[in-house]
Amino acid sequence: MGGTGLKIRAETFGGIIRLDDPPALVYVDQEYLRGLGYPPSPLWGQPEGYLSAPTEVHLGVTAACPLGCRHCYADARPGSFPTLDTESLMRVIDLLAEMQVFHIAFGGGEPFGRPDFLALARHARERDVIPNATTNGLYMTPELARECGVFGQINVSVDGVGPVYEQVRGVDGFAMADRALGLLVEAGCSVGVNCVVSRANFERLGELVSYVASKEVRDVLFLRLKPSGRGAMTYQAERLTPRQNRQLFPLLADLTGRHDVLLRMDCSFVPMVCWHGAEPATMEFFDVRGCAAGESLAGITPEGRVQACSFCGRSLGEVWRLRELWHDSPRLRDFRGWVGQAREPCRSCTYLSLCRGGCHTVAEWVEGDFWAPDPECPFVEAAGRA
Amino acid sequence: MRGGRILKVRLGYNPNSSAESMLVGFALMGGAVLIAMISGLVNAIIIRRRGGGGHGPEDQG
Repeated sequence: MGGTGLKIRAETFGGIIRLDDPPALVYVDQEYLRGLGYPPSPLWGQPEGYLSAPTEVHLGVTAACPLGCRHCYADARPGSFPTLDTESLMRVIDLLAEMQVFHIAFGGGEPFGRPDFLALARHARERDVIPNATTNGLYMTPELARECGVFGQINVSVDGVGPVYEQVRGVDGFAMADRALGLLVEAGCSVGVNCVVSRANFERLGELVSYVASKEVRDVLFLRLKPSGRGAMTYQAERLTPRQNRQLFPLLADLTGRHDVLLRMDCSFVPMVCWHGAEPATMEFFDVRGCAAGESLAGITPEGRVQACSFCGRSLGEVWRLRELWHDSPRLRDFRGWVGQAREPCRSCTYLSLCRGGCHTVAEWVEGDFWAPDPECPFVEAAGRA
Repeated sequence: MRGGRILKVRLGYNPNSSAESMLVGFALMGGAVLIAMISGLVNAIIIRRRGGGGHGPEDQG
């Protein structure tokens, strides 16, 4: 915390500078860093490839959640499950700090269900790794909200307003989420909203954006439903139709523009953005790109297993081997090599290097083939109809 | 005259613990003008912070 508000990590191309106010990761070349007085790095003589470490790690700290929502990607539910203890999680955070990871996104399960959760977040801050978190809001109290300034940002999951929340999640939790949002905003925290987009709420997204605009939240993040955890059971029935996939980006851009709310989308929605003719150079500059697994992202489960991302159920190994797994895991090499092996229509697509083939978890689940193009990409869908 | 280039900027935090996310609407609003504007702004912030702080060892190499 404090200081110049800068953290710099060398990479082969130059380095990444983390700004905290405003929050940003800035990728610069070697000359730029030299101009800032940064000493030459041994990495600067090496050929350019993937990053030296993730910029962000998704750290699940519990598999327990009292809500048990219908589409939970982590299959979280009430109960007690094997989970790393406090000391082990502190060591994981130490490891991430040593690897110069910039951000941790804490999740679960419901992370605030852990009595030590704030201590974990504070430890991350002390090690100069920004802690962020997603919560359903169940455990939020005025006292707890006042302690949440330790987080860079907290997002509350709200898939719909009023009864729509229950229609999507199968749990009547809107009042709880609404209360938590209010408490966090009142406490001066940086707050956002997560919304999983499905057929159950697609027609009601306008209400959600209007609600978000009335709450002084920082941004709203729209997530694609994934066939992961219990999401796999509802996926075929709840995923967006091809027409909705085409309509999504202009709809959300219009809604957030009209209500003056910042719009975020997850990496798996990038094909749906590209479909509308986004300018590649602008996407590149603002780092709007598809699958980040093995590129800038890694996931860690509550049991301490490394995953390419939180939706890829396959374990790559124990978290204590994260540093070597980042460089040597065959699975991560597959993710990094996907673009080079791309099939048509991805291979000829203008956006291939940015989109990176859409969501490989979706492709693997729907097509039974990790190397298949994302079947819900509008370009792929159109090619299939031609 | 300071040289070098800002290659790209990822704005905001990603609190979501399941997927990477990005500010899409803002990023697609404009083109070269927006990039130049943001690049200039970020440049100014970094240089001011760095110049004002002077705590080199805080930055990890």
